[in-house]
Amino acid sequence: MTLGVSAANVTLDYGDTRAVDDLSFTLDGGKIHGLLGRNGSGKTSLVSLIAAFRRPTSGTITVGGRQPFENAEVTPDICLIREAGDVFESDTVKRVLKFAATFRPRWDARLAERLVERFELPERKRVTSLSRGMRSALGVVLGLAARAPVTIFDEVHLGMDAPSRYAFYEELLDDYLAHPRTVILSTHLIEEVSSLLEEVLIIDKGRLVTHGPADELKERGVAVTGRTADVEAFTRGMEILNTQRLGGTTRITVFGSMDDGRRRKAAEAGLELGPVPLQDLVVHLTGRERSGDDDA
Amino acid sequence: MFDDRSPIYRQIAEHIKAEILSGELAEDSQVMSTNQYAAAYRINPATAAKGLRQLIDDGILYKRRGIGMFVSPDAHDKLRTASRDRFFDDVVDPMVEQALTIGIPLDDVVEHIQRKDGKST
Amino acid sequence: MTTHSPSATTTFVDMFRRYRWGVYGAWGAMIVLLVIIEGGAILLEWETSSLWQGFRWTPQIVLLVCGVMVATISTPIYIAHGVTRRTAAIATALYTAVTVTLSALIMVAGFVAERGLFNVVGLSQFPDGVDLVASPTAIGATFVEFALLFLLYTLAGVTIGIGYYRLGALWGTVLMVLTSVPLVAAEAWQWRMSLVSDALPVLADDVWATGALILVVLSTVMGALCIAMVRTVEIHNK
Repeated sequence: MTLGVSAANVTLDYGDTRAVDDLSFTLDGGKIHGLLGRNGSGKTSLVSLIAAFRRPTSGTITVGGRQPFENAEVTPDICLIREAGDVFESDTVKRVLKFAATFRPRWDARLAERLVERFELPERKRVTSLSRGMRSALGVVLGLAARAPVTIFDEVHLGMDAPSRYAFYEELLDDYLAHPRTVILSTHLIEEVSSLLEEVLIIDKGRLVTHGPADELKERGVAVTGRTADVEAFTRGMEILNTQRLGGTTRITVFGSMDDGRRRKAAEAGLELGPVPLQDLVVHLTGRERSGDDDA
Repeated sequence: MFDDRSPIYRQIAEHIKAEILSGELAEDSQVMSTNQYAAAYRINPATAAKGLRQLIDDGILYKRRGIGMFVSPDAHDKLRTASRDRFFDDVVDPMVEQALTIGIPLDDVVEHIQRKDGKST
Repeated sequence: MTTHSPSATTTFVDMFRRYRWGVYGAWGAMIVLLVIIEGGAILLEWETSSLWQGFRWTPQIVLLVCGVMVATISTPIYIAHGVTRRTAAIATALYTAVTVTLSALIMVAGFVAERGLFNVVGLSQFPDGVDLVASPTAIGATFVEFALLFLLYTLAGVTIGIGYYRLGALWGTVLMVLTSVPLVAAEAWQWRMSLVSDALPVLADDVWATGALILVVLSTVMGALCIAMVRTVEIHNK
């Protein structure tokens, strides 16, 4: 069972601060979406709205076509995991799992047990005495084992070491393949997850920057390297994200698609075309005005 | 497993093409499912699907409804021909361009090639 | 497959389980202390009157604190796990009703038991004031008094908790100060009744009934306020 998520002109204000600004998008159900953006870009506020933790100041959020706030038919199907997962700090890990089993209708206890073993979580330890990494791992266990049709991981990687993160990605993909659901990964570690993402939603300062298939976005980043004059001539008129110079060589990163003809022209001009890591694209696309021609 | 050079779905397609050319994947043999490729390469199944779809569109693979995807009977030949065509476009032409840019007369290039050919026979 | 949000009963059961050791543990400790101290005093033939009376302060504080924790800790967690705010409010109401009733019952039972003990040794349980458990009517009245008292303390806790959570430090403090009004009213009502009237008929006194009614109204108002605040609460970011 998969549920889509959509937003129509959603705005969220905290008093005078606008955290989400007139956001509209539709996320298809059953896909893994990346929610990318800087600190303070509104990612956490957005996922709070989707999970009905908060209500929009204006606009509408829908999950599976229905508004989630105070909607008993929808809220059990949405699982937002942040840090250790909104659990009672005084509970032991074991107790937390029992609690989740009671409150999550699709809870898979066997999966939870296996994951607890995989992440080496001490069952008898209280949540307060878990390390940061273990807390995140617990959050991962809760998010995966709950099998909620809409599962959101909000920066769960924080505190997790690389092996644990890779274990998470592996378990997430395996479970997603066997039991498809709508997954939203909100993360800073974009490169690590980029191959898992089907679609990406990039927001900045509460506004939508871009939304679409991940590989389409990746293909719209090109790093053009070569002799300075040639590179500058080639990239004239294109949207420039970044310029690096070293001696007589320049690398200009542009945002925009290049067809085969254009690529051939580049090769003929002795220019090297390279891909741009998704992380770099996100950094370039957020937090600053997108410049036109000359960035030097 | 994947480099940054080209989109992952294209790299998957290239891997499979390489396996067909080398004979690892025989004609009319079944290839892995989308999900199996996704699990094996640790990528989103949509990406795997895109790569496989491209191979189906190119006629390298075909789909049998309800069973899976298989290597086309003429895949090997098709790929060899395509490789051959691409060789001239992607390897020889740029080499010629570069020779001209550097200032090497093409006769020297041809002579070099002939020497290599003589050495290998 | 349609799934349903966890029911109010499920939530209530979880809530009850979590706070039972705090609440009933406190009662248990009090009972043990009472038995030791009073039993000891009587054994040593020291004159003493009811000590159980003095023990009412502890449960009030415990109930208030539990009220605060239910509002600020438990409720957001239940909501984060898919429970609607409406369900959480119902569960809290159930928890309050059960806890207050049981606590008032224990309180009254304590007096009755204490009375039995005093009768055995021939001492007066209430030499100076109203006999709270002189008759079934008095027992009933005492039960109502403590039930209302405990109810107001629990509700005060929930109000203070959810007030701070929802309104922040400034208005949360204002609300906290306001909750002292019904609490003082309840104390005054009970204290006055215990001191001024003589035993029975306690219920003939109009003030008692009026006082009870006022407190019921205050409880309803506080309860409604709590529910309203819970129904619109936004879960804090981490």
